[in-house]
Amino acid sequence: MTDTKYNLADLVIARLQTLAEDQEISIGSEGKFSKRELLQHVRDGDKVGKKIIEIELNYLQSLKNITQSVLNNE
Amino acid sequence: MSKTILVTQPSYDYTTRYISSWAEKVILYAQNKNNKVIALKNDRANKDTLRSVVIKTNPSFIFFNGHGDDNVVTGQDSKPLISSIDDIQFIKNKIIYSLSCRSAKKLGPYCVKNGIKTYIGYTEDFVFTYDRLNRTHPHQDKVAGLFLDPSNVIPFSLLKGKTTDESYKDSQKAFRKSIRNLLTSESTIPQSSTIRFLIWDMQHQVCLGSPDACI
Repeated sequence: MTDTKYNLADLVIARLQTLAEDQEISIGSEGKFSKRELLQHVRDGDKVGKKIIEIELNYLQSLKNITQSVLNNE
Repeated sequence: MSKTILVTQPSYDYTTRYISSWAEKVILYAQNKNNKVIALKNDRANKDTLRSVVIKTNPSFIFFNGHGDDNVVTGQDSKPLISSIDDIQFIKNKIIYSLSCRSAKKLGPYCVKNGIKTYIGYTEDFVFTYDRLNRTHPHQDKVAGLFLDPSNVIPFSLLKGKTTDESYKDSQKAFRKSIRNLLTSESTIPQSSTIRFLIWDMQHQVCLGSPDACI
């Protein structure tokens, strides 16, 4: 991975630390993952890890608009 | 007026167990309103049974629960139910809601092109979280409910007589409500950490075809 990709993965890993230990995440046909497994996939940079990074980036990019929208009860 | 609806409920992993269990709420609601419900559970969620039951009972609405990808929605054990290489004339003029991954990307447009009235689904993976301690009682899992309640709004609204577009908008509103509750209530940090997945699902839910169709 390039430095930028490393930094991105580090950012996502840091942000995923807030996931609950007793929660599992179902990602369609990819299967179900614990927080620990999810973090490992991001570190490995595999298909699941890339998907999680995509979801996190999507979240960060849309956070302002979504937050504004839901708080305005639109 | 009484309606006939068909629901597929495969159950062979945690994902299908959860979504099929939550589909039960739709079935109970529909039955209480005197609608006819055909549920294809477990092994009956297969291609041949689907085809023969649809031809025999002519449901106006099909609610698929299962895994999927760009071109397929699956039933029990990930075996295809409908795909974008199949002849899908037998589901022509139906309204479809697929709670499955990515099927609205290619299969949905294929269905609409081939005469399905409306296809509601997701263009990306449907992601949800659940409480590991509740896995044996999926229908009681409030964490999963943050995702599956907004999803169920589609069939609930259709059963209330709303159009496909109104039902889609109701579901979008329900997703926003889940997000708003997490943003504004005294939810714990782990609960609010699910917001990223709720936004993902909400943004990738689409309504293809006729916006004015009713079941």
